[in-house]
Amino acid sequence: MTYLRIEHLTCGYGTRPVLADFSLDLDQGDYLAVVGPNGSGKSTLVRAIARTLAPTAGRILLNDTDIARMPARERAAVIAVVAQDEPWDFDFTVAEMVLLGRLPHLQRFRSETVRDHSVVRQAMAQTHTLHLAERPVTGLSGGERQRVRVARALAQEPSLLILDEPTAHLDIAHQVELLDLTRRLNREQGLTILAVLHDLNLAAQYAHRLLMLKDGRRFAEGRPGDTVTEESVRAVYGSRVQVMLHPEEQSPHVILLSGDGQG
Amino acid sequence: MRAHRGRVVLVIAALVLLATLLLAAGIGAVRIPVGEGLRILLSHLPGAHLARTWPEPHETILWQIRLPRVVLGALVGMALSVAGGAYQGLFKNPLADPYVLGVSGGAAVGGALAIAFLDRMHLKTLGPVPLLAFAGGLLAVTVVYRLASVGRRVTVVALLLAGVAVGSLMISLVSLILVITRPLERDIIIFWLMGGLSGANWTKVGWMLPYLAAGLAALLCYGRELNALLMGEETAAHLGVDVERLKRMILIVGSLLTAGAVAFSGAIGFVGLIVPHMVRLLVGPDHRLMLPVSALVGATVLVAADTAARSAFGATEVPVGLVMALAGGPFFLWLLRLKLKAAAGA
Amino acid sequence: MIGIRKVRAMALALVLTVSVLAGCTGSATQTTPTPASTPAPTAKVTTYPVTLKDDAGNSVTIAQEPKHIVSLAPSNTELLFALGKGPLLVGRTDFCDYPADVKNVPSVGSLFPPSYEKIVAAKPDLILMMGGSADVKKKLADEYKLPILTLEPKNFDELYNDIKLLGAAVNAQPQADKIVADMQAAVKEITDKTAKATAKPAAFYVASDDPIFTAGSGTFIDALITMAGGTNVGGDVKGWAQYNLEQLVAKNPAILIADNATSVDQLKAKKGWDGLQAIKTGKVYGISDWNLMTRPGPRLTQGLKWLAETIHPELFSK
Repeated sequence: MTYLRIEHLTCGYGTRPVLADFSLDLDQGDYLAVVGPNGSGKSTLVRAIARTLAPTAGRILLNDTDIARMPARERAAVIAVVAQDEPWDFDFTVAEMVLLGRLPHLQRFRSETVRDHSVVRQAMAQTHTLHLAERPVTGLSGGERQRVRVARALAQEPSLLILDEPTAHLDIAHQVELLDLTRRLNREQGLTILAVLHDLNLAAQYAHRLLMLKDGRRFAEGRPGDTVTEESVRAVYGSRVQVMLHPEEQSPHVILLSGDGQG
Repeated sequence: MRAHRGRVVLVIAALVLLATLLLAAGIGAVRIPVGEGLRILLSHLPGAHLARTWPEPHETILWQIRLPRVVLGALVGMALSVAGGAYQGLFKNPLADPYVLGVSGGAAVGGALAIAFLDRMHLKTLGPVPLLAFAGGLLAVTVVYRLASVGRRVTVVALLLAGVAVGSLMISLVSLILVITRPLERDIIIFWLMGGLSGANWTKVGWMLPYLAAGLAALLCYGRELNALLMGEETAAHLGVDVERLKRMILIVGSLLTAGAVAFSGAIGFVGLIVPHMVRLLVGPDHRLMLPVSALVGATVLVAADTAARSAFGATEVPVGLVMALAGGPFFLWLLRLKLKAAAGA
Repeated sequence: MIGIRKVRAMALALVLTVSVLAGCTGSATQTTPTPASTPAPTAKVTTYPVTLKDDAGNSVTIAQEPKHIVSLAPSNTELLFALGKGPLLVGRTDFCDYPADVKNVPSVGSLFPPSYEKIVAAKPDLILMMGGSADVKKKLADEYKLPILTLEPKNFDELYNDIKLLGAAVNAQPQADKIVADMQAAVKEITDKTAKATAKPAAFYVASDDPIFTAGSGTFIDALITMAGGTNVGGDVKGWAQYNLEQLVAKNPAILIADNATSVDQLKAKKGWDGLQAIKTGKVYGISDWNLMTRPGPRLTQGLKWLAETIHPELFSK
C-alpha cells in the first residue's frame, strides 16, 4: 500500500528548481535511503516533505491526504524530521528537549500527562540517552546530540521518520549505533524511514531500497544490489569504483579506486 | 528536578516581590510609621471599618500617591521584562529587548503623536496614547526584524545595527513632533519621555492591566512553541509549530506589552534586557517558567529602582529610567562583549 | 552624529529650562491671553471666601485666608516674599533661590516632577504655579483636590495685575499696591530718560550660543530692551526660540547681552561671530543675575536699569 506519494514535484530556491517533476512512492514499513552527490536535491526533498519548503508545482500525499492541507501540528504528529543541524544555544536539559517532541500531541492548555512522560522515557531508553536526562544539551558531544534529537523525533510518535544525513559528524562507532537503531525501529515498530545518507555503503547496508539522485532527477531506484553498481556510481559521482559484497549483510560494498590508477 | 526547583524559585520570587512592594510603600519623601501605614492599607480593604486615627494627608500620600505608583511600577517592570524575554526568544539572542530593538522608540513616536494631536495634553482620556504607542512599537519592531533577519540567522551585529538605526529614526521623529506641536503639549511630551512613574494613579493602573494581562497570557499559552522556536525555525516547524504565525504573535504581543509600559511610564531601558537573562541563568530557558519568574523579578527590580529614584535625593526626583540606565548600561556592555567574544571564537 | 545629538539635547534642555525655570514660558506667547480682570477690591482687606480669576482662566475660590502656601515657581516665591507673606510658605521648588530666606522653607523637589508626597503632607491651602506643567496641575487639582492659583504674566501690565491678584489672594493688598506703585515709578524714571535717546541700538540677548537661543517677542527681555531704548534683534521670533546665525550676522547687533557674566569672554572669542559689530567694538555685556531680566517680579526694574545703562551709558553717566 502506498503510504507516501510524491506527484510531479517541482521545488527549489529562487527561480532555479532543484527538484523538477519528481515523483516517488513509499510504502508503509519501507526503509528508503536517498543518496547522491552534493546539490543533487536530497535535502530539498526532505524540506519538501517536511513542508519547510513549499513546492512550485506538484503535491505530496500522505495516506491520500495532501500534506499542504494538513495543519502543522497534525503533520508533526505523523512525520518526524531529524534535520542536519540546529542551534542549541539555550541550556535546556536533555529531558526537556525530548519532551518538546510531544508538542504536536499536546493541547494548548493541558500540561503533560503520565503517558507523555512515559513516551519520552521510552524514546530516551531506545536511544540510550536516559542517563543524560538532567544534563544541559549545550554540553553534549556530537554523538549524544544526535541521539537526543532522534529521541525527540521518536517522542513525536511518528509513523514516518525522516533523517537528513544523521551520521554526518559522527565517528564510525556512533554511525553504526545510530543506523542499527533506525533498523530496529523499522523492523520492530514498523516505522517507515526515509534517510538521506552520504555514505553509499551504509545506505546499501541498512536500507531496503535506494534512491539515487542526480541533478534533481531520479537516476536509479530499487534494491541496493540493483542500484549500486560500478556503472551507476561512475555516472552519478564520476568516480571509479569496484563493487564487492558485504561479508555479513550481502549488500553491495563500494571500494574507491584511485582516479589515476591502473584501470 | 529542575521543574521542581523552578516552582520553588517562582514562590521565592513572588515573596521577594511582595516584600519589595511593602517596603517601597513604606519609603518616601514623607515618613509614615509602619503601624499607621498598615492600618491605612487595611482600611481600604472591602468591608474593613477602621477608625481614622491617622492624619488625613498620610492617607492621601499612601493610598493615592505612593501605592498606585508602586503598583504601576510593578506592572511596567513585568511588562518590559516579559516583552524582553519574548523578543530574546524570537531573535534567539539575549541582547534583544524593547529598548535596544527600537520598540520603545516606536512606541514613543506613537504616544507623542497621540498627545500632540489626538489626546490633547494627555489629560482627558488615556486611551489613544497606549494605542498609538502600540502601533508605533509594532511598526518599529517589524522593520527591525525584517532588517535583521535578511539571511538565515539573525546575527548580533545585524540586530544591534537595525535596532540603533530604527531607534535613531524614531528619536528624530519625536524631535520633529516636538518642533511642530504647540508649547503646552510639547512640555507634556518632554516630561512624559523623560520616563518616570510620578504620574501614577489608580486610573493608569487600570489602563495598564489589560495590556499586561493580554500579553502575558498569550505568551504563556504559547510557552511550548516559544521553547521550540529557540531550536531554530526549521526545528520548530518540524515539531508542528506554525512558525510564521508564532513570530507574528511575538511581535504583536511584545509591542503590546512595551506600548503599555511606555504609555504610562515613558521609555525605561534595560529592564527587559537584564531580567530575562538573569532569570534564564536561574531557572533555565523554559518559557513557561522563565516568563512568569521574569515578570516577578522585573516588577521587583523596577519597583526597587523607582524607590531609589524617588527617595535617594530627598524631595528631588531622578527619573527611574536614569537609575535603570546607570545599572543596566554596564551590564549590557558586559553581555555584548561576551557575545562578540563567542562570535569571534565560533 | 554627536553634534546633532548635542544640539538636540541642548534644545530640549533649553526648552525646559527656559520655559519652566525662568518663569517666562514659551507658551506665554501662544496660549490664549487672559489678562487677570480681577474686580479691583475696594477694601484693602480681603474678605474670605474670595473668588479670583487667575491667568489660566480658572475661577479660584479661596475659602479662608491662606496659612500654608506651596509655591511651585521661583517668581511666585519671590512675589510672596515681596508681599511680606514669605513666612506662610511651607513648600518651594529646588529652583527658588530668592530671597535668601527661602533656604529655610523645605523644598518639594523640582517641577519634573515635584514630590507629590511632600506637597500633600504640607497640607497647603493654596498652591502657586505658573503656566505649563499641565500634568502636574491636573494631578494636584483633580487627584488631591488642592486649590491652585496660576500666575503667568506676559508683560508689565499683567505683572502689575498679578501682583495685585496675589495680594488679594493672601490678604496683602496694601503691600501689593505699594510694590506696583514703586515699580511704576522706577520704570517711569528710566523710560523718561531712554525716551530721549536719538538712536535705538540693536541688542541681541544670547540665552545660549550653541545652538543660538534668544528671547523673542512676547518675553520680558524683549520688553525690557525696548523700554531701555534699544531694539531687540531677536524680536522677529516668538517667545524663547532658536536663532539663525546667518540672520544674526545680517542684523549685525551693536550690543550682545550674555545670559550670565561668565560667558562674555566666551562670546568675544567665538569663531564666526568676530565680524559682528558688537564683538568688534567690545560691546558684550553680562548681567550679574539673569533673573533680573527674566523672572517676573519687582526686581525686573533692576534689570531694566542695568539694561538702560548698558545700552545708553550716555544718558545715565551725567
